[in-house]
Amino acid sequence: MKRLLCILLCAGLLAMLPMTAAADGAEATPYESNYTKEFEGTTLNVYNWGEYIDESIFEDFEDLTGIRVNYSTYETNESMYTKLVAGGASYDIIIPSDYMVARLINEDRLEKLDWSRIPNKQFTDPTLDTTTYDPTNEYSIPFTWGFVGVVYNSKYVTDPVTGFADLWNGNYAGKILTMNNSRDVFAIALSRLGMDYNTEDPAHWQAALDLLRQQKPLLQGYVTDEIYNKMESGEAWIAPCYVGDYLAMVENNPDLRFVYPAEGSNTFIDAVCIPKSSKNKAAAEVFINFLCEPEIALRNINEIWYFTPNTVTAEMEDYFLTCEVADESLLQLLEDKTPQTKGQIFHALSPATQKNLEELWLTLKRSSVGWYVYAVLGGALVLALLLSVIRRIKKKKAEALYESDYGRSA
Amino acid sequence: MKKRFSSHLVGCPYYVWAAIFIVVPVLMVLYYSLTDANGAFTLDNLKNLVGFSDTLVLSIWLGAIATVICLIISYPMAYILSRSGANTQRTLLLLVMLPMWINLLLRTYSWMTILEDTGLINTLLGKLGIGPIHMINTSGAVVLGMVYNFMPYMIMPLYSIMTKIDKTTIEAAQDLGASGLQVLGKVIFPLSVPGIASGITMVFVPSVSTFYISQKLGGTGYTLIGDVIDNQFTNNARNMGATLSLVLMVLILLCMAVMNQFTAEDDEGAILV
Repeated sequence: MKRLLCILLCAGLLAMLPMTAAADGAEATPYESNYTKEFEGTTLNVYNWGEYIDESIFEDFEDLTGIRVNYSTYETNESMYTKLVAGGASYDIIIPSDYMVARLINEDRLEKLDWSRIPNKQFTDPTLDTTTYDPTNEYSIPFTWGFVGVVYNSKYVTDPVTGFADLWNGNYAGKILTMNNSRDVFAIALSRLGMDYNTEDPAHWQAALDLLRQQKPLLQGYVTDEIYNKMESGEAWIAPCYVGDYLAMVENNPDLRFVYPAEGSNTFIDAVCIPKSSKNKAAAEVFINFLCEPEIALRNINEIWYFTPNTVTAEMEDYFLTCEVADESLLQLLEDKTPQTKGQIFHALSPATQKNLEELWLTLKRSSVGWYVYAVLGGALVLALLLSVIRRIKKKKAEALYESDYGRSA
Repeated sequence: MKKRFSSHLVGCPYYVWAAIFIVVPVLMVLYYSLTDANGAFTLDNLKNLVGFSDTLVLSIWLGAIATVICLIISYPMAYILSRSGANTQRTLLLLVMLPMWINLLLRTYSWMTILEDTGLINTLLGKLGIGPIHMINTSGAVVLGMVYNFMPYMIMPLYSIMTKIDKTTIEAAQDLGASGLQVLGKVIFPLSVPGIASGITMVFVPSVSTFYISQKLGGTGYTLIGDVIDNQFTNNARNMGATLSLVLMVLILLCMAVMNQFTAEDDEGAILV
C-alpha cells in the first residue's frame, strides 16, 4: 500500500514538472524575444561607477544579442569626465549623475537617444523630474535615484545624530570619513551654511571651504567605495553616505544607523547616456533598452540597493525595498517624499564656478607642514653642500701633495 | 666601420622604444605644463607652483626619513648577506625579494588593515589588555609603508657592491692592526659608497613620488606630491598636473646628479636606474 502511494506521488510530481516549466517559459519569453542578433560580434564599452551594476547581466545580454560588453569603472563623476574629455578611450555607455549629465549636454558631448530602439522607456517613472538636468529628455534615461544622508555606528556614536553638523563633532576625531569628490563634499558644507548647492557666488564657496578646513583635522580620510570596509568594521564611526551604500552596509553591520540630515541634503538621479565618442551607438541603445527591462532592472537594483525609476520593477515583490528593508524610518522618509521636498538637486555650474570649485577642492586636499621641516631640510642641504666643497678641497690638496711628492722623488 | 653600423642596428628597437615612450611623453609633459586648458601659452602654472611648496617639502621630508631608515636597516643586513655562505645567501636573497612578488597596492592595503585602530595589531593588544595605540593616518605609518615597500631597492645595490669587496683587503687591514671599527670605517664603508649612493637614489626617488602609500596609510594629513598630481589629473586640471610632474622630474634628476658625484669615480658601481 505504502509503495503504491509512493509511486502515485512520484507520478503526480512528474506530471507537474512540465506545467511548471511551461509557466517559467511563458514568463521568460516576452522580454527575451525583444532581442535579435542584429549586432552580433560587436563590442560595447560600458563605463560605470564601481559596485553599481549586477555584472552577471552582461552574460545574459551577450547570449541574447551576441554583443560583448567590455566593462570598466570609475570612482567619481569628475574622474569619469576627465577620462572622457581626454579622449584616447571611447565609451559607448556611461552612467553619470544629474549635474554631470547637464554639463555633458551643455558641452555637446552626448548623443541624442533614438527612443524607437528603447521602447522600455515607457516603464520610467513619469513623476521623476529629469528636466533639471536634461530639459528636453533627449539625452538620458534614469538608472537609479537616491539621496545623501549620514550613516553612523550606534555602538560608538552615543550623542544623538541629527545631520551633517555631527560630522564636525570633535569627540569623533579620526573616526569621521567624508566623500572623495568636490560636489558632494562642498554640498555638505553648503547645507550647514544654509546655502544653495548651485550658488554662483564665490563668497559662498569660500565660506564652505573655510568650514571644510575646520573639519579636515578631524577626518580619517576621503573615501568612495572604501566606506564599506571602514564603516562595517567599526574603523570609522560616522560618515556622509549615499542611501544605497548604507542599505548595503547595514546588511553586514546591524549597528549602523542612517539619518536624513536636518540641514537638508542632496537628492540625485544617475542616468544612462551615450557619449559622442561612441562607435556603436545603435547597439548601445539596445543595451539601454535591456537595462530598462523590469527583470534586468530588478537584478541590478537588488544588487546595488539604490531606488529604481522603473515603475514595473518598483511593484515587483522581489524589489529589495518591499521585501528586505526593515528600517522603518527610511521607509517613512520615502513615504513622506522627504528627499523630493527637502532635498536639493545639483545643476551644472557655470564654467567659471566649476573651475573655481575644482581649485578650491584641490586646495582643501593639500597638506601643510611646519616651519621646522623647512629648517631641517634647508640645514641638511647646506650641510651637504659644505661637505661636498670640503671634499673637493681635500681632494685637490691630496692631488697637489701627491704631485709635489712625485715630482721630488723623480 | 661596419661593426659600428651593425651595433647601431642592434640598438634600433631600443631607440624606437625610447623615442616613443620616453622622449615623446616628456615633451608632452613640457607642452602641457606651459599651456592652459585651451592650449594657449601661459606661465601661470609655474607661478602657481608657490602654493605647492608645502606639499613638495613634505614629500622630500618623508622620503628622506624613509631613505635614512632603509639605509640604517639595510647596511648591516647587506653586509651579513654578502659574508654568508652561498646557500644562506641564496635563501636570504629570496626572502628579501619575496615581498616584491606581491603587488605594491596589495602590500600597502594589508598594512592598512594591520595598523588600523580595529586592525590586527590593536586587536591583539586589546586581547592582552593594552589600550589601542593609534598608528594609522600618522606620518609614521606613511614612512613605514615606504620603508617596507622600497627596502629591497636598498639592500640589492648594497649587497652587490659588498660582494665585490675583496676579502683580502679586509684581511690586509686587520694584519696592519686595524680594529673592527677601523676596518668598517676605513675599508668597508669607503668601498661601499657607490652602493650606498645608488641605494639612496633607488629608495628616495620612488618614496618622493609615491601616491598610493600616503593615501592609504596617511589619511587626510599627508598628501604628497604624487597624490596632488593624481588629484590634478582626476579633477580636470591636467596642465597643473603636468607642471608638477615636471617639477618632480627635475627634483629626481637633481637627486641623481648629486648621487652620481659619489659614483663617478668608480664606474662599476654606477647607478642602476
